[in-house]
Amino acid sequence: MKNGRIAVPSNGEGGLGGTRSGHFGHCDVFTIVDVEEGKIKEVSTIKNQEHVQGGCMVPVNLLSQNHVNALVVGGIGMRPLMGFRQVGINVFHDDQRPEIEPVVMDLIAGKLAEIRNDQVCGGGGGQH
Amino acid sequence: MISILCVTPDKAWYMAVEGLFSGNSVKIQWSKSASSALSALNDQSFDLLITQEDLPDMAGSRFVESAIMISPMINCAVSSPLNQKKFHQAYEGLGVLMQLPVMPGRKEASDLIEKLSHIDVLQMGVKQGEYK
Repeated sequence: MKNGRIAVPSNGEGGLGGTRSGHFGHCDVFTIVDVEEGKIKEVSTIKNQEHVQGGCMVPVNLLSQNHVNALVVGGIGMRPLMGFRQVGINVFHDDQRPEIEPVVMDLIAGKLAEIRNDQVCGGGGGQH
Repeated sequence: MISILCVTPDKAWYMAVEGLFSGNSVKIQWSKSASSALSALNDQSFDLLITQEDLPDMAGSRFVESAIMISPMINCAVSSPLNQKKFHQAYEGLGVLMQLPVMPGRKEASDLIEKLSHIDVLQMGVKQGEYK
């Protein structure tokens, strides 16, 4: 990624040195990384909102409103994945590393793959 | 005005569901099959999909998955006899708003509208920039 805004579902206060949340819809915050010319320009966070059953489009709209271009998840349900694709947010997949920084660096370096339809998961009706 | 697409081959069931929402600000449309409902979703926008699990041409979970591929923003309620665990297994990841009993009543209709309204409130908060 040369330019853009990356979101990572995160635990606690988030930030580049923080850890990723395995539950996309239930994360505490989204760590936001702004990338310019292939380098990290700024790191911030967006507070996640209350999660309710069936409300998986709320974070989709939240990240879309905040001009996110790419999301890195460990798991996600089919409905939010379709929602992200509809609003033009590319969803990348890494279900191995709990740390935020290495997956962000790999995404910037073009080393992370977009999630495929057969990699979607569930749990609580699309909460992931 | 909430626009609902109700999917069932059973006219009596549709009429009963339609009656549950009378008095609310609701516009309800009937599709008799999954395929006709998917055509409707391609052509029109709905707020809520209410479907029976056993449709003549497609299983409920397959239908909901197909529906959200067309229209991921639509909320779904599924009338199903499955217990909670089996329902969860069948529909996980599909973001179903609510499981309805085989024959929903006034309470379920009221709960459904309330859940839909709550999501609307959260969406409104996002639009108004409350979560930045």
